[in-house]
Amino acid sequence: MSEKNETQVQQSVQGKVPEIKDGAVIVETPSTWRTIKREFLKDKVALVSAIILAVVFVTVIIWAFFIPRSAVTNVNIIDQYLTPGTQGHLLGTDEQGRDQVKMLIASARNSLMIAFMISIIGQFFGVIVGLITGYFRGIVDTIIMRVIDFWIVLPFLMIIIVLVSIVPKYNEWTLIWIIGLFAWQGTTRLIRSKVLSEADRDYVRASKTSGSSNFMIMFREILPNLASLIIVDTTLNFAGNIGIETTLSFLGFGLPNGTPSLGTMVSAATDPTVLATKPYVWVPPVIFIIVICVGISFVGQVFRRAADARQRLG
Amino acid sequence: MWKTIIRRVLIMIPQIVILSALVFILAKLMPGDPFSGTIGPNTDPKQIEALKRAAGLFDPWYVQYWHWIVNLFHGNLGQSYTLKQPVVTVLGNRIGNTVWLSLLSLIVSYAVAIPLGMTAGRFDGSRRDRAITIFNYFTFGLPTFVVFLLGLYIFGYQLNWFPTSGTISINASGFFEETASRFYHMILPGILAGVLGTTSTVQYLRSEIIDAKSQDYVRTARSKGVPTNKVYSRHIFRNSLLPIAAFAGFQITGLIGGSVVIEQVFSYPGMGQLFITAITSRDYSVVTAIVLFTGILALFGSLLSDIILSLVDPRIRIE
Repeated sequence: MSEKNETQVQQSVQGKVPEIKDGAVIVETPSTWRTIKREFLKDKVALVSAIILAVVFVTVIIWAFFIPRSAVTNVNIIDQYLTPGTQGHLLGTDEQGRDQVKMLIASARNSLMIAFMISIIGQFFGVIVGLITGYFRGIVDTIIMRVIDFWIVLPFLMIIIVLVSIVPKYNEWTLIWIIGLFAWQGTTRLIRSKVLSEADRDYVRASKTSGSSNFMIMFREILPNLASLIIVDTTLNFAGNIGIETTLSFLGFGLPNGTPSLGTMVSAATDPTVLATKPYVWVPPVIFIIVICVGISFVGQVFRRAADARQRLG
Repeated sequence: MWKTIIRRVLIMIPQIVILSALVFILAKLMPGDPFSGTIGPNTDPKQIEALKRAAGLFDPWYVQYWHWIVNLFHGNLGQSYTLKQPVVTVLGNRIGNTVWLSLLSLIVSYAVAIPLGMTAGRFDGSRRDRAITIFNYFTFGLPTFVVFLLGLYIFGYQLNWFPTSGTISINASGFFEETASRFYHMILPGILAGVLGTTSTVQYLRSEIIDAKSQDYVRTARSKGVPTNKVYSRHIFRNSLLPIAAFAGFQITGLIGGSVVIEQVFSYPGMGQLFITAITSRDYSVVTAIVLFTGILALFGSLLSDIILSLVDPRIRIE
């Protein structure tokens, strides 16, 4: 740690008003929310991203309710590739003559929802498997971790594409589960390593001695201590999952026809003439993806710093 | 030391067996069989049936798996339905392009990441460090295809600095000119992929250097009067670089796995593009071969990384 940081830490410790109780000095530990708030105030870029993200998410979710399905399914070749601003289309129209603004909102809603579901599935399995392997250790742990080591090096993008193209009755949910299959291993590793160290703590031993069941210790006692770690991991994975879904949709193996995705919108640019001469067709979704993904990773880093006292700025 | 390496290599065997079984299952799930491509309007269904029987498609799965493995070892990966060529030939034509592109990306990636990581680690907390960290968030958070498209649009179509597709221009003749043209076609995708691949190296190098700063050997060097620049370039750099070198194996597999996206965007005829074409035209013997090949390559990459890592850091040797 640099000298500057050390003095900062000292100042912040001194800055707190010590509370004197029975002769002992008690420095109150700031609550998680207060820490997060302070980190945001220290990091202006992250604060701005958080505000932008909040505005974008709320707009997309509410606006999407008012977009009729026909707006994304109707084809009107006559209005193909209208330039922005013509005939009341603020961002122009795409190859099928659909309004780009409506497409963007509907696609963003789908992409965000899918990524959200994948994150939930990934975190759910990741946390449970991580807790079990880290807590019980032994042979089960060895086997599961070997499997994960193996799983992580597999060319997952190719395997997902193969699965997507051979699954019968393909829809959003099959896509979510297929990506989810590859979304939990990193979380398991992270949670396991933390649980390994938690399981040796005194509170766990005390609880064991007093006869708590393993289930109780794992989910009621260790899990709450992992909360901040899980929040960080979920946020960063969420951005990653948006990336995976849009990449697959871009390549043509993501969301099925009729369910627009940001990736599908960008895939209009695989046509060289569209890419070169009609940037208004593919640039808006590209900017949207950049804003969302980078914004989320900024916010995620703030959560990470708030969770890990050594990295804090404030 | 040798024991560790041998143990690690032995772990590879079950891994390859599992991988081959996985790929075999995937291959069996794919519709179609090696004769789908040969069926014409005049073929007799009975004849096809006989051919299938002769090829063992009605055998139990373990017999089929065994035959498949034996064929693999003979380098026989079947016939491409659409290209009417042996899969090995088809793959052979494309592999070179992917390997060269990945190699260039790898070089660019280290050339960019090492100075950035060094600067960020040495001046941690400074404005430069902050800028590098922000750059890192970008490379970490952005889906690669977005960057590739923007790069292609700006540098390929708008500024006309680089060719927009293919591996070689039609006019190139003679060895020297051809090599130059190939390299010219690789520059843009290579640089973009390389820059996007810097995230983990920068992050790792930065934290390694920050850790090393407070180590005893650094303090000793400083108190001996070694100039600061030299402390960083000789003492800290060497120690921090070794683990980075060890991750090269993972980097390579990551790049080859990621070739699907970059080759699709840049219409670069390598394995990734072949994979996409094969899967859209339902040419499943090619798809199977590519997945198997990439998987084995990935396993070798992690083997390589583990071996280098155990050479460098005795603490992580397998017991």
